[in-house]
Amino acid sequence: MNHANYYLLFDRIQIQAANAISGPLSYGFPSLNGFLGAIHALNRRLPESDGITLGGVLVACHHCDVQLYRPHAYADATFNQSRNPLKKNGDTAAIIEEGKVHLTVSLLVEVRKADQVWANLSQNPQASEWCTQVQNMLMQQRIAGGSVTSIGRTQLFESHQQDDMIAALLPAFVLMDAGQDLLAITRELQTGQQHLVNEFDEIQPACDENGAPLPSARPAQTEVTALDALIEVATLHHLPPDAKDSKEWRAYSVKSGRGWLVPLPVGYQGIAAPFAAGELAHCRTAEYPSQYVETIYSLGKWVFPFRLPENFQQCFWRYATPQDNLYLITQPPAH
Amino acid sequence: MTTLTTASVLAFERNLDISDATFTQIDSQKPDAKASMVKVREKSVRGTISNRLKNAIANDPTKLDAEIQKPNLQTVDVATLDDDKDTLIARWSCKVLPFTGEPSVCNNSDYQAKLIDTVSGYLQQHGVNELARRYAANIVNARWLWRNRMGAETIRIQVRTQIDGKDQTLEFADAKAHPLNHFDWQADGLSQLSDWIAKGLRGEAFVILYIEARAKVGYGQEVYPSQELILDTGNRKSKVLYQINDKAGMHSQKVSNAIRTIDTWYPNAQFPVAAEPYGAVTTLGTAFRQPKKGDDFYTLFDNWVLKGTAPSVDEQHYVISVLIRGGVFGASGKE
Repeated sequence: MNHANYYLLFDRIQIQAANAISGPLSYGFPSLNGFLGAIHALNRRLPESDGITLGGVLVACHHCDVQLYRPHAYADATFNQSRNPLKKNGDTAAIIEEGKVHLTVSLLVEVRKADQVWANLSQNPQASEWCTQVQNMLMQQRIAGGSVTSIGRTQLFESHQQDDMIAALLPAFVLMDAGQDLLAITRELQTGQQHLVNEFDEIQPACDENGAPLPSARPAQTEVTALDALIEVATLHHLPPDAKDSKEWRAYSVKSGRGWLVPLPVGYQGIAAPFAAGELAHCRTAEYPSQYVETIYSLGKWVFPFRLPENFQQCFWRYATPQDNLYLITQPPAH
Repeated sequence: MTTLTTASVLAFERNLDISDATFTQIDSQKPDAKASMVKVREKSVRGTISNRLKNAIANDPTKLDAEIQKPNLQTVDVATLDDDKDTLIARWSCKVLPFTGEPSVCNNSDYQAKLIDTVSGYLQQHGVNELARRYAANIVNARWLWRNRMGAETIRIQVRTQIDGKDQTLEFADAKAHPLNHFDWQADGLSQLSDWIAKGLRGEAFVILYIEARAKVGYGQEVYPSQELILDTGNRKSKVLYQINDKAGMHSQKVSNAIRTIDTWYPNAQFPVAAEPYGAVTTLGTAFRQPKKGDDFYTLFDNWVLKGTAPSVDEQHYVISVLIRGGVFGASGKE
């Protein structure tokens, strides 16, 4: 894959009433498809003569305000709904439940420019003109189903300006893939020993200062799968006291000490053979093939920009080439 | 050639993309002071029993006394100005997106071609000036302040935008002087504002309007943000008001309903209603355009696009204004 010549920052995009439901099981933040799809749509609207392609997207969230109501801290949260216009006979229409979220996000996009390159970026009128142009184009679009109400600024960076880009993102949290953490948790549940992901993204057993392995709070269960581990991440255990004379119950979650983990839909798996274009009845478009799919879940992690991996390209989400009926959005480690 | 049928999946994006309105406040005696935000707070009151009672209770003095003694406690949200501020400032923005008649989703390419053809015919013949003027009038007469408009002494409206890289501002000194029930009036700057909207709809420029109203409602007076629609309130609070980052606000849907209240073309029209498929007005519980009489959106639209019988000019304006509003109009059987 070609490397990006530039990075394009859409700083503090305010999105109003975006879709807060990211998959059949998770809510609170739009799915990655919402952001990648918006940039993909933007890419398709760019004039071909510019010779510019947009690539991977880094998603950084500054502010996230899910539109819900919770009467008190122990109650269930319900999404605030909106009323629909009346039906033809004057009856009130049924409420179709929706989840909405107001967001402030920054998107950093890889930009590849094929023909001659912008020299001296900050003073190049062509580059800044192009920035204004794409900013207006993105303003006219939806992102994750929500309207864009404002974009702070749009700026191009050269690929060596990694520190400047990180500084521009602050303060925010960047959405990262935490598939390795999921594997570590799976292994921990299987072996009954604590496992952690080290700085080289490898899974290793955790040890105390004498080098002895640390046992997990839960006994080993050899038949545990990654799905059990994903459910375990959402579980809070209340463990009874170990010693007879103690009355202290402990709250325990396997995700403590691993960062801010969240379940994350990362794409789809086809569950039936694809239909050719125009074959499926009542499909949204007759121009492209379609297929019935199910959501694939993994684990994601919100990371503060200072703690992003040294290899910056690893922070960008990209559409993976579909294979084995899998349509995934991945953060492949760059080579 | 097969007969043309309505696409089963057909949707339009809204072309007037309106943000939430946020409420701040200021003292008219100190116009240069910094505006502070209007907060939503909770209040608990002991209500009186004032509902209609059954005859058996109402006619029996002891039973009535017993009923009256019930406390009827209520907790509600309320928003007021501070006791040293008398002016409500409501602010929102309106993006005007190009309108070509192209649906955002359509699964029938023959139908889409006919539809775009029909709409471009309208645009060539009538243009968007009439619609733009009415949208502009609804901004200038402050209809969108709803109940806040009623109690206000004076309302100043300011509209800012950037056209061709130049900042432009329009001021309207007295919004309450302009009538709500017809559009036969003029104001300085109104035609300028409708020009901008028309420009945006024609796609000649990227237009985003920043609208601000200063309504003098009196020291400590109540103001009216939107109320949230909550399906399960847990019976604790009977009214929850909308707030954005602790600031009282009005839903974008509510503002945009007021802006598109331009339909004076329905039969025996006394006042404008919002451009809606059935001319629905929720507060009156009435649909002003009944399919039985054949003047609802779907009948007019289908006749126009499928059969090529153009409705009257007024009805054409109405159909186009519903398309500009956006919505799902497919023939999948769900209204």
